[in-house]
Amino acid sequence: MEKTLKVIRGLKEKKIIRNFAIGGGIAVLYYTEPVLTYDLDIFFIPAEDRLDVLSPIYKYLRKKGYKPQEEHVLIEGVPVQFIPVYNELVREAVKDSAKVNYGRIKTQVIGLEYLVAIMLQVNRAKDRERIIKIFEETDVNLKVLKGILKKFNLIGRYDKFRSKYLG
Amino acid sequence: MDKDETLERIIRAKRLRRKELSKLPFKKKIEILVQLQKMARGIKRHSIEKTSRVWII
Repeated sequence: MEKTLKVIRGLKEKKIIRNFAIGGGIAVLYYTEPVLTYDLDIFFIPAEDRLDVLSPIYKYLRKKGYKPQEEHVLIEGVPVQFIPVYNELVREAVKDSAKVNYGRIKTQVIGLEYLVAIMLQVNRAKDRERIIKIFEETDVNLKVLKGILKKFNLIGRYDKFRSKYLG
Repeated sequence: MDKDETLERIIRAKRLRRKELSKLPFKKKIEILVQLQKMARGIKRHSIEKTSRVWII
């Protein structure tokens, strides 16, 4: 995993991507008890605006011997999925990500409150389960969360969610 | 102690345990994740999905 994160950080250092942060199940795991997941999701801000934002990443990784397999690239034993920031919420979440250490490697993880907001926006069954888990096991900063939700017009959805699952 | 109290105690203990586990270092959590992936592979041997790959860390 350290090697995997080093390769990913290399993408930023080589300016192939502008910025990145770990999202999805591994970001949830960073904040909660360990849960089963199989992908390392990397949200990234592309270095330049182009139609195929994955192409420079794949080209760089291929040169290093890491080949794409369907939607993943297997990097040092870990299947990594690169997801370009697809809206303003995700872009801001990556920009504002938490700097964390994995052993000796420095990396970035989507901040807890942004993670909740993104999952609330995506709103699949597994996202709802993960939000409940986060509220049970962590100390979400409600002031920060509500600020994000207000900015991205998600307060109504949060209120419904809260009364249905966290009441 | 009645049934409700016992159940409440168990739930509270489980919640506490999950909260303790949530404070483990990131690296330790990934080690546990790999153990979970190995356990799941054993269970799902006959219906293994392509995406259910055990990480090599």
